[in-house]
Amino acid sequence: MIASASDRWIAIRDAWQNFWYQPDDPIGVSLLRIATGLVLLYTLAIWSLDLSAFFSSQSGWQSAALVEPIQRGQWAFSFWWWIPDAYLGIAHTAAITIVLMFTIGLFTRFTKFAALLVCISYANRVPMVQFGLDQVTAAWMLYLCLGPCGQRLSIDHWWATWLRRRRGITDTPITASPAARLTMRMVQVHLCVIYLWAGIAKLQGASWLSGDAIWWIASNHDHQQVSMVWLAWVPWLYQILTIATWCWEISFSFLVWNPTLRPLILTIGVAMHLGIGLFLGLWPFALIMMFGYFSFVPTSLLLRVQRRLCRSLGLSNEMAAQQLSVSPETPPMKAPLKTPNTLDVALPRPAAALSEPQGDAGSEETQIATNPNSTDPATRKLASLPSTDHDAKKPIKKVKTMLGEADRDNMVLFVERSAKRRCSLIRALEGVGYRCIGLDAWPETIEVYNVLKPRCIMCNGYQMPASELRFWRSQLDERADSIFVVLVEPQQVSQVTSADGRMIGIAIPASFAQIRAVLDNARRPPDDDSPSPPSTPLPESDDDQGDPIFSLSSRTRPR
Amino acid sequence: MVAYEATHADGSLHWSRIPDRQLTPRLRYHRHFLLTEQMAALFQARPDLKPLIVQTFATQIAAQEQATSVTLSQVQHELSTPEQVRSGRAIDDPITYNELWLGEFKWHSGPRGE
Repeated sequence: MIASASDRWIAIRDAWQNFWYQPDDPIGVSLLRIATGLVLLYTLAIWSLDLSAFFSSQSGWQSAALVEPIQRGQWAFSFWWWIPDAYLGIAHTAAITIVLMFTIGLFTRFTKFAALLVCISYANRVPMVQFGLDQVTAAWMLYLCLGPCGQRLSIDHWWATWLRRRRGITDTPITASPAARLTMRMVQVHLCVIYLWAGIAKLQGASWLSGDAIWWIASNHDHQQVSMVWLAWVPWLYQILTIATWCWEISFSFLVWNPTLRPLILTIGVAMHLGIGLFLGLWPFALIMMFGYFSFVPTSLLLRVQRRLCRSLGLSNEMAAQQLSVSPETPPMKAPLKTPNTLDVALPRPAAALSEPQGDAGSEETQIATNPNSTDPATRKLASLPSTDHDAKKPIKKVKTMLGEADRDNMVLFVERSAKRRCSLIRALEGVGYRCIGLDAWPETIEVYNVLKPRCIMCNGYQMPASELRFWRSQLDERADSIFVVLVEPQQVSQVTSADGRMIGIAIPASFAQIRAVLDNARRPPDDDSPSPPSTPLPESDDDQGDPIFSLSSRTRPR
Repeated sequence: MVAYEATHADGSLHWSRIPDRQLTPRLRYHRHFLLTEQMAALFQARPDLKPLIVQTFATQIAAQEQATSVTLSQVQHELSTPEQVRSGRAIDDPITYNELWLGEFKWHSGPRGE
């Protein structure tokens, strides 16, 4: 019971860590930077037409004398209060320049904070005319400040690549960052909060409950860009649209997390915002909301699109290849957040030693370079992965002292992000006499491998390119008799299975019996052709067809 | 919305409305639309600010129009029901607009800054 609670706790902790901090490619945050920057640029450009009318402190629609009592008691920062009326144009030009630099990714580490201040300052200076556009733009800007939004699609990245080439380094490693994931998660959660509150607020208005609210918007002549009077003849349509709007807004927060429903939920959202843009003319607001949806688009898809764009625009193949070399959607790519704590070891005694709380092995961003031919030092560094915390290796060494040579021959190192699948396989393998260590990320796996040198390494290779699998294989091949078992999609089995039988692909879904058969065959001496009976009967819970742990259905597939 | 009548130094009159539907781009129009919407909301929420808001708006209009006198009115739009529209009433029918006089402001030597 204690073990079960511990497993559950580990699963919850891993899920939490993965949700917020799984290192991710910065393509998403970079794209959001450009999109948000363009909207902010447009907003500032429109302000150019009414600069003195709205930003003059002595006169104008929002004079200091009027804004001061409106904002009394609030902390509403704006640099505009320090700008004399004579310098409005200069300050505005400087602000546009900063946002332009941010948008193109120039000195992004600094301009992202400056652009956030610009965005907030404009919104706070004109409290009577700020609306959702300004608030959402400021929110996205705030989250972009958390992440490495200038690491891709930016002048900074281009400049860094150019400098490396000048020094003779042709291979630029891609940096996967926990901050990139955190940024996108914050945007996702913020979107959910926006829609949830909007939906709940609508329920407090009688017209939204009665189904008439869309009509009142349609009949407001001064608020619409395209006439919607025709709705008067199709009342059922505006009633359905009204009810559907708040139903969708409230349900968004829950349904968007379901991978199956996500495309539908986002498509409805896009349709709704397109409607706002088309009928009310609020295109900047519609766009900034839809740009938030980038956070729900898989990074692998964004990378594929970028690669195709690079090719169609005639950019260098090297650039396209570089972007291909990362597959951050694959579960094993994770920074060594807490090296020893991510071990799931099913050894009777050492398990206790491994569960001792340890400090963070390193929270720095992990350099992920998946090109096996890479000459970059970061790649070689990853192979040995020296820990920043020397104490972190102690539990592994303790395990080593408790293991004999036979234990290592009998040991399976299993790399799987899902704690549930990991723990289940460990239990099942332990039940038939194997020693098993489960890990959730490749860097830790290499570290453990370098200490223990087990014979068999097994991993969940779902959606991992064969080239990447071969790379990790090359890092885990110090024993001449080692085998590398990979759970992959059926069409990948032939690609990953090697002729010498040391790299074996198993098609997903795979039953425990299949996995065990592969491991048993690998354990047998090569000259022994007679089938050997299993040393221990299969656990009752494991049947040939239905072990759900290894059936990566659409719901259980790693994202 | 706000309707105003500006009197220039030569005695000519100019009548207009905020937001002006001719104002482009749409975001610019929407900012002006919000200005009057928020004005109406503040009249309800903060009645003590009403004189200050009206005077600020009048000063800005006078500066914009180079006027010596400005008369302001708040315009309320009664939204039409589907039945009224089906029976032939336009959603911008003049009878759906109601004007509330806000004040008249005069400057003897052009608009003042404060």
